[in-house]
Amino acid sequence: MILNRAILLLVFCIAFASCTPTYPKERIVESVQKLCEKEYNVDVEVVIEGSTMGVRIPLEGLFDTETLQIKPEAFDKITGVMLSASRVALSSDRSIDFYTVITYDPKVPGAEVVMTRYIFDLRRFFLGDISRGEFAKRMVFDVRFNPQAIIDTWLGDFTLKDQSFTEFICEQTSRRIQDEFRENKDLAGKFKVIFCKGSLDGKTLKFVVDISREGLPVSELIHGKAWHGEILEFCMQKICYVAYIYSFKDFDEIEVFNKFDNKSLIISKDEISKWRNRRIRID
Amino acid sequence: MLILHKRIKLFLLDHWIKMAIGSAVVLLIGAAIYGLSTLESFYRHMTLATLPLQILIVAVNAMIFVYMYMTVFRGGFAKLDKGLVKGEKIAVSFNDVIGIDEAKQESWEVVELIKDRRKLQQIGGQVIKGILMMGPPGCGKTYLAKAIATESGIPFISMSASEFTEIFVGVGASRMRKLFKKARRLAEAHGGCIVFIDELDAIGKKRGYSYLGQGQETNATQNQLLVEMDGLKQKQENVIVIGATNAPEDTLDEAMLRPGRFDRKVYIDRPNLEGRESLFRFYLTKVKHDEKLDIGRLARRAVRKTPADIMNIVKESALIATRNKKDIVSLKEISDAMDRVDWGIKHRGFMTPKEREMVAYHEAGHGVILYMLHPADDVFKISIISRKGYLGATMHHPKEELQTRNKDAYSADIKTSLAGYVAEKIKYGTTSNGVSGDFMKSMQQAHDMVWRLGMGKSGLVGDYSIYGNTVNSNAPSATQLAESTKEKLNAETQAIMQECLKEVEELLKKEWNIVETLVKELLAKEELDFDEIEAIFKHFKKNESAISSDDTK
Repeated sequence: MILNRAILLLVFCIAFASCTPTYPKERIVESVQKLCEKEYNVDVEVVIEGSTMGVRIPLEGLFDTETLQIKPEAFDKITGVMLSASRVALSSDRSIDFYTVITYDPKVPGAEVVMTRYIFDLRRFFLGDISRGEFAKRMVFDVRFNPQAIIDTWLGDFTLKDQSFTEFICEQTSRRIQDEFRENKDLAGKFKVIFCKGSLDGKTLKFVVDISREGLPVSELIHGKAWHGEILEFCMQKICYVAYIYSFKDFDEIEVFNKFDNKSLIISKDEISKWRNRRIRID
Repeated sequence: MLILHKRIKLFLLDHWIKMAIGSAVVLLIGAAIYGLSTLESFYRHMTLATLPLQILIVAVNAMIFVYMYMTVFRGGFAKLDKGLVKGEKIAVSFNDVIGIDEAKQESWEVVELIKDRRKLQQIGGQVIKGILMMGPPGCGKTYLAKAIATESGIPFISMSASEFTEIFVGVGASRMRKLFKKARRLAEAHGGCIVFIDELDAIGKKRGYSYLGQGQETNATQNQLLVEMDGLKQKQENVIVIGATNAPEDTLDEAMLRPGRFDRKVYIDRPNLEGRESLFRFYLTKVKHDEKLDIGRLARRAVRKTPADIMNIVKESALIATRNKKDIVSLKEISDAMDRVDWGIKHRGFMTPKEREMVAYHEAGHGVILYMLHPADDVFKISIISRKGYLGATMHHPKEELQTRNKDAYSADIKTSLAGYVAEKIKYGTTSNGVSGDFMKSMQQAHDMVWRLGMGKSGLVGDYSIYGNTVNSNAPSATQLAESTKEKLNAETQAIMQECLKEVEELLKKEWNIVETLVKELLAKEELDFDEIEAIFKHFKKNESAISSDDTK
């Protein structure tokens, strides 16, 4: 009897202890800063806007001046800060859906490395629900020039826009399309991706791309039929896949428009599953 | 203080593995809780969320391992998985042992000897090493052993002898050694230990030696038991072995029965009248029953019934009462239960009216002769409902417990058996094959009277059945018996049969009205109980055999 009560008490204690958040919402900013300073010796700025947590890291010598690539030691620090942000976001009672880590070189104002993650992806990854490769693809990674960053640097301010789920989906999809055209061995070197951007236009999930075939004569580029369809169909596949894995259904149709040849492909939400299952063809 | 020290030492020796495992588990759980508490809340949630799944996986792995271990290794052939039973936990006192007073008295002496062993040792007496309980099954041997354990208050290890036997020679002996090792340790800590071996004949039969190696395992096990009970040891511990067996004493090995081993034999026989009354009284308290029940009458009817039989009768009667939607158990239910125990379940097979009538005459004949002529038996029931392959039955029980049977009783048995044949013959002028069993029984008895018991009129005395007896190697051969003697004996047997037949014919013809009345009642009711049978005889102003025998002479 006594043993049973002791076990019950123990279970209650564990359950109670597990309910207490490690990083309470009141101290979330300080928590990230402390963690980054303690574990990676990096001073960061932290801002929370809506359900997005932004972490800004000033890193001198972020880029290699010769290759214009991110230096490996800088990348290590970014990874460490991302891990700290993940830990705090996961173990806090503040509802955070996204965190964005923005890295900049104070000597090169306006140039930023932006990495955004969806917290739900993190949870699924830790529970083994998604693979490491898929987890990497779900991060939105961008190197961009941001004029606002120059102003912020001058003013010593950090302006963060709350990330919406639709924006995240669109950015991730754009990133996936670009990566695929660059890394896929069947596509790499054959196509030139100039532009790829998506947005929710009313009830249409619209992606505008500027992709052409490389190494073909001009006449073939203009009149060749086969590859036009290939590009649109490939992009559509990627968009449908991302919408599917996030169960994103807040649209009626998907449109892909290639600026290069002014061709577009439109599929309604109801036709997506049929098309994915090869039950209908796109003409 | 010394005993306490010994017990603590024994406890530590016995349980050090459990204690070590327990401590390790507590430490690991403590470390796990500490580790968990230092985790961030998300990881803590994650760990706790996946914990049930991990426990399930570990449990499945453990089950697979245990299954493999049990099937492949079987935990070692000589493993002896016998736990200690504490005397006080058995909770069977001597007051609970009913109906076997003599055996109880002898067992009580044993308990006193176990309790006063120090006093006995001071005087210089030897503590009892073994008690052999013998007797028919269901008489309470195991129950009495439990009572001894409870009353003596020392540890009790119970085993069936069949648990020692294995296909591999030496395994039984190994188990026996382990059993006694354990018993000695317990005896050292508690001042004594009882080892109860049920169905001892499984390892205790006379040892045989075969060139083919038959029985080697049993011999080895028995040898080990003999050595453990009275072998050469450094220290004599107070281990008392109680063996129980249904086998006759002469089938057991002599070495086991000699003093120093099973030196006290307690014969537990079927209960006597008084014992049966106590048993009925005891078991009837457990069911709702008619307060007017004549317990003495039930006990008289239950001659040669064991306590287990009586318990079964009461249990069956409760079931019959429930089936008949009755609130209490009455004489009718107990009577039906006895019939069921004795004769099996009724099954009404198809009989033509003619056959039914013939069976009724046959049984009525038995009933009349049994009632009027038998000096030792009462007719309890006459039935024309088929049971166990019989189309009808006349059930009789001894009026009292007689250990001997005289010539009158044998003759009455023969007459009762022949009565069915005679009744059929008087009524129909012919007889059926229903008499075959009766003839076999009556012939056997007449034969025994003449050939074995010297009850013939010719003056030949002695047991002539020993001639040609193949069991007894010293017996004379069948050819040594003169043909003239054989003829004489057989003639004598037939004379007894004829004499009985004549007497039965005369009586049945004289009392044919009673036969007819019994037949009429039987055809109407199918079964007649003692009260109904007695009422018919009283109607014809006939009393039981004691008086009626004058009538026939």
